[in-house]
Amino acid sequence: MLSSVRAQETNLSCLTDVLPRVKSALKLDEQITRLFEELHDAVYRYLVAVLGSPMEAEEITQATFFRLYRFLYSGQSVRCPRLWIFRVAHNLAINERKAKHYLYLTTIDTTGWEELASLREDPRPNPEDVLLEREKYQRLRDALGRLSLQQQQCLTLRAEGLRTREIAEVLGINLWTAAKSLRRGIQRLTRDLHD
Amino acid sequence: MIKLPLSRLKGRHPSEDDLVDFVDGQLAPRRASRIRKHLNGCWACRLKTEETQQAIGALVNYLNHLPAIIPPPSGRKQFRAGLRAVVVSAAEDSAPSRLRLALSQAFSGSSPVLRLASGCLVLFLAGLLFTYVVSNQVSADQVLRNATESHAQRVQAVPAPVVYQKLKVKRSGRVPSAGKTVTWEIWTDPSSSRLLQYVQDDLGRRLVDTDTPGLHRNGLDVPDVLVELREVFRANTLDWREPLSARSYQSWRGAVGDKWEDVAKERLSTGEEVIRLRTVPTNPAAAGSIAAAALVVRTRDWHPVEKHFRVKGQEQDPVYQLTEAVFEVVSLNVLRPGFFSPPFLEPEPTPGLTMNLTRLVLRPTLTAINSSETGARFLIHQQAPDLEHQVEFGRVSGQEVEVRGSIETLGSKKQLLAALKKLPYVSLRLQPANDRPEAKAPANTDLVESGTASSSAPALVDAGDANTPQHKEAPAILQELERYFAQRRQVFGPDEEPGEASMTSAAQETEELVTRSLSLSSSTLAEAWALRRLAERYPGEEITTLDDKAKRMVALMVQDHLRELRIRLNSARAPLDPVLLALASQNVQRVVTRERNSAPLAVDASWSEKIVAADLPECLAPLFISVRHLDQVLRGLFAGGASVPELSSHQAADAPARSTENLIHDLLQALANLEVEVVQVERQIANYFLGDFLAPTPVSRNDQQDLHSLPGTGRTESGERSQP
Repeated sequence: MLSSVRAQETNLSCLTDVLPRVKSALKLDEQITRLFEELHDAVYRYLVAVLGSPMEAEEITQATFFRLYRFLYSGQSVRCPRLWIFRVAHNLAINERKAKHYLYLTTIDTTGWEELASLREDPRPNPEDVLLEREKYQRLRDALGRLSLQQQQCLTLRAEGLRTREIAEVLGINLWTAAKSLRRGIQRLTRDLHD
Repeated sequence: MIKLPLSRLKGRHPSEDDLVDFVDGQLAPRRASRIRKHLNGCWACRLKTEETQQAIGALVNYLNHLPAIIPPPSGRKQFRAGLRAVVVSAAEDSAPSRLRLALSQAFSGSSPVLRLASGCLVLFLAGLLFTYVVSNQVSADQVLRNATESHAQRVQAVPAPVVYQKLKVKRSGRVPSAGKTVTWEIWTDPSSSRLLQYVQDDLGRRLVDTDTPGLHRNGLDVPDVLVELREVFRANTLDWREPLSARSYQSWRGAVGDKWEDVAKERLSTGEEVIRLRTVPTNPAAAGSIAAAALVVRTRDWHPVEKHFRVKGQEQDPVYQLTEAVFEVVSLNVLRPGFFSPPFLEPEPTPGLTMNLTRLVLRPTLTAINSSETGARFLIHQQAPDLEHQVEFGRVSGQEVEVRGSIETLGSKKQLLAALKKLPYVSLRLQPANDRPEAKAPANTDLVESGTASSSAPALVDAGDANTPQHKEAPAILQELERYFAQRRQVFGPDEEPGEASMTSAAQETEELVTRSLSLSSSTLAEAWALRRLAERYPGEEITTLDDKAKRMVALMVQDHLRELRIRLNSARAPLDPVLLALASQNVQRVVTRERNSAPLAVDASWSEKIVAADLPECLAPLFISVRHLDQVLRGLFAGGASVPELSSHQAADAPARSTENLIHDLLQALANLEVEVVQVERQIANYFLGDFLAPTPVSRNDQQDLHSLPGTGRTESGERSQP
């Protein structure tokens, strides 16, 4: 007896089903790009502050957004993308830092400081102002360098607008520790800058 | 919000922590208000807060300018290129890599203890999921490879294979033909590359010229959807000969460069588990090329059952859907000679026939046809025994069984007709009875049998007349019967139940007995006729051409008729026996009693000898003769010699001369003999079919239902089953 195979009638939703998924993937791609443009500088600043290496900071910044894409593509949701990005960037930076034994802020390349004047409002800065700016940033960098790593992280994240609770979440520490580190960091930075 | 005890703010400077928190905006409004008041009068504290604010401002300023001071080494363009690579890889990402990602995330940024614990947990879960992941995740390549191998194995399993595929083709989009389904049949001979294609739509079924798909031999156009599809196949390196195959899909897929792919398990509406592979080329498609495609493969045997194409068009992108309806691999040997060179005009299929593969191309064997006919007989026997006398079974071209006849109530037999239509090689030519000329004798010489009762069983026609005995030629027995009933009334009183209003006369009782006896005799004869027809249809050689299932059906039908015959015989005998014995002389009573006591043993011995060599007609012919003899004797007795239609030569010669006493003797003897004979025939039939079945007959009612899985038989279960 011959066996017959009967395939079932299905609607044409197969491909009309595929394309939205592709489109949604592309849409997600666009969303990530938009988010990258919005948050890149903040994450990069933080990572430069933590790692000191612009190259690594940029790599980790991009890697963080790639991870966000994969995370969202896999169907998972992110309550607060900004917080998620800082947390992942922080974790990646810590791993990188441990792997390469970076010393905090010791490898910052200051060659770009000269160009700082060109970014100022005055298109024709006088050399004295450039020198003053350079000194100011140098002092700040030195002062930051004297803080503990956690204090530096807290201060940097706070400067990016994160609340204490969010800082604790990003760094994986409790609220009181975050508040205390933040407070001590500000006090010490103030002292260093005004002594 | 950080809360500090109020006592710390009373009567002294706020602590440095408070001031920092104040500047940082971390204090509660009430506390911040107190500090603000304090700062209004305390220059030292105000200075401290200003310094703190300056430090914070400097830090923010520094960080804001950091990207400018230390610009990122790469621009946005590099990020977009990297993200595109991630998009493609994410689409191809499999569960193991997702697990790896999850593991890396789980292991980062936590304490060693937590990491160890989470690692153990993840490993445990991974172990649990290992089987699922390994068995359920499959790559696009694997799907196509498995489907190709499965197809090859299936084809190679048949000698001289010919692949038959019936597809439903549908196109969506804003075109006039959108939504219409076209049936496309493809016969492929892989060994000689021969190809035969048919298409069926509103215009009917016709051949497709494989060389010029726009034209075809019947002069009718091939449907647009098929012409378009042909162009799509040609432009995209798809194999026109195997439109649904995985190999064809792979050839197109291999030619596509960058693509987005997705493999997902799904379940069809029927519950069938399938794998859906979707491929979308990432590069913009040119007009005419496939913008997206999907292949649906059945999980249990990796057989492709659906294929979808979205084709890039000038204005819109039509979607073509190919759904498999039938897939068979048959041997070339079972096809008609010259199958791949069909005649110029392919005959249209006969309306009403089920167009299945078996009917279309295969040459049915004698066993298949005979078994189908037996199945049809059995269905009618079970569901509508009243039709058994009305339908005939014929052959069309020696390859099909035709059920012909006119039946009274066609509407009420819908279930039966539906069941009959499902049988292979069976076609129906049944018409309502009012289309049939009255008393038309069957004139078809091609009939396997001529089963109408009107022509074959004259006794049945006479039955109606016999119900009104003609008293002009009233035989002596009627007067004796009236006398008997009158005497009985005098001795025992009337038979009516107490409370009966009317009292029937002796003449009425006589008429009732005669009518009832003749009627039962007729119905017994009808069963005997049915048995005879059945036996003549399946003589010794014929029964060997049936398959086991059909043989079992024949056995069941024979047993059913025998049981009915026995029941009716007993019903006829019950009122007749005592009356006849009372009327018979003492001499006759003595003879009959002696014969009854000895007959079973004698008959049993004679029948036992026949068991070994008997075939069905041989078994049943004597029974038919006996039943007919009984009927004739009964009519001879009650209706007089003139109304006896057929008697054997010696009976015919003796009949006029025979006295009533002799006829009573004959009738009593015939009744007794028939009773024994029926039991013996039942036993012999059981033995006859015993060799064909594993289980000895009789077959239980459950077995009967298993044969066709149909609702219960129309027969009443009034009689007990015969025992071997």
